Amino acid sequence: MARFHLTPRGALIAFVVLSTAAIAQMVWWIIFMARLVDEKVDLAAQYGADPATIEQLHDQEIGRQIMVGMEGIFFLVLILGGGWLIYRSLVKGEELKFHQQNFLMAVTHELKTPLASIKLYIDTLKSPKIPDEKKAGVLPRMREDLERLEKLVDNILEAGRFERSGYRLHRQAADLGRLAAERLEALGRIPRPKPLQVRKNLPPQVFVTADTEALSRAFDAVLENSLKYNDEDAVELAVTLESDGRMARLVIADNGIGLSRDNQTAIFDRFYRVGSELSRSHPGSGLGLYLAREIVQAHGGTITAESDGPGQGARFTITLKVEPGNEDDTAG
Amino acid sequence: MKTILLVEDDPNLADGLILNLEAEGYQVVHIANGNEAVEEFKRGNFDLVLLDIMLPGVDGLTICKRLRTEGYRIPILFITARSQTEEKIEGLVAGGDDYIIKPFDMAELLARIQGIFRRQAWLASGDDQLGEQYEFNGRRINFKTFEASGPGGTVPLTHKECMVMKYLVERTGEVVSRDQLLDAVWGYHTYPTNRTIDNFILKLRKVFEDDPKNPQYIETIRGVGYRFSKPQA
Repeated sequence: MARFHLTPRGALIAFVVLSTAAIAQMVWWIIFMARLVDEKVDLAAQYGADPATIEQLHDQEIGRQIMVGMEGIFFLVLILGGGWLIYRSLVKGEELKFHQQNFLMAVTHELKTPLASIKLYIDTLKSPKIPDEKKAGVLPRMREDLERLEKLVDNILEAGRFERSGYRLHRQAADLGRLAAERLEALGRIPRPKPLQVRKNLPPQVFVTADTEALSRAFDAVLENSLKYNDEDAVELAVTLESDGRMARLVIADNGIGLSRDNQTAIFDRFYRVGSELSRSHPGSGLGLYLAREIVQAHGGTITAESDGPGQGARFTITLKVEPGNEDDTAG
Repeated sequence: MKTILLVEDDPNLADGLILNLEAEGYQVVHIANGNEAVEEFKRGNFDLVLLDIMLPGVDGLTICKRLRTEGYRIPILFITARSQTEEKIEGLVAGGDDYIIKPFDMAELLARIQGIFRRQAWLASGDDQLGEQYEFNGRRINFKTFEASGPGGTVPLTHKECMVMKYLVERTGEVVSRDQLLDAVWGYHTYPTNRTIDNFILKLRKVFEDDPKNPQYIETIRGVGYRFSKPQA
């Protein structure tokens, strides 16, 4: 037997139909009750009731009707509110399903493409038709593919760990500026197809209590995102750290493809990737920024993304609580 | 020398394919973006398109449909990470001739490419008993121009429809199994479902039969396959 499945559009139609029927029923009921009062008053008059009794009966019936009417309105609002909540959750469920399907497609593509490349390069190394000087370039390519696979598998496992039991942090005092500078340095060491220009203002001695490994992963995810979603000839990053002694704000601004208003919050959702997976312009799985948000939130902080719109670049802001007086410079 | 248009966005996979295909004697033109694929195809004179499905800009299925809609009959071989049966059928229905799933063996890819060229040569061959054009009882099919005419008028056939018809006509009076048809027309391993074959037969009946529901020329042999026969008019 086919399983009953209500699409968001179907749910909206059902909600509108039910609401209209409930409101129509309510209006009819009020009209019916009003007629009933008139009938009762007329009946009392026919049986010879005196005007004072009729007046009293009329007032009593009107009072009772107002009370019943108010109860009716209360239940109507309750039904409509409940219906709306069910509709919203159906829409959310469908959206999540869409993003999960997109995620599966993205992961399939991201896993299988480097695997195909490695397998092809093994065939290349074995081929007697390919000269040795051409085979020499194969090993670095295989290494790149393996590193890509490793990063993806790490992200998937990490996301699974969050889902199961959250993140167990091993906190210590960390110099946030130094940690960010280290991640930028590590990023600069990886060969990239485009030049990378970094402007940084990372004052020292801004301490937070953090799991440096986890926080490094969050920084890397944001930095990688800025590098990946960039169609300019050169990637420009401006990384600044500010502190008012209570909160530290690390801002990563890029000259990338920017974000629409809707995507500014959605990009941190699990599996979320902008657009359709079939015609994806940028590789990825939709887990990096989700992990970044989970890690920052596990530290009691926040992460936000802002953009003046598509093509205008993006600014990511990580806010963490400063630990005043902690000057343990073994951190980071 | 055969020229292949390779549409693949992954630089490592593309470079590996170029290296191996060139070593096999093919000339390869590489495009990394779906947006440019159709234009590049029109600029060049290609014998085969190796097409990734998930591409930046425009996806491979859309590119394939666009080429077919514009009347191009060049063989298209999909390279795809998607391995579900529905996804394979989607590629073949879009007009693809074959597909290979990542990760693949280079030897298998080369066998598929050679298979496509072999089948293409078979369809285009004019030196066999059928010739370029075949006529029966006022119906006509041209295996070079892919045009067919029958009671429904003159219609263009697809590459595959033409191949199915040629295979049946070459075996007039013989019962041809679905597996035989699948093997000859789509090549090994590329089997769509039997229903896909049935759809091709339905289309051919609409072209050649007076009453497609009571076929006189392309009969279904229950539980086996099909038979082309040429009754007296």
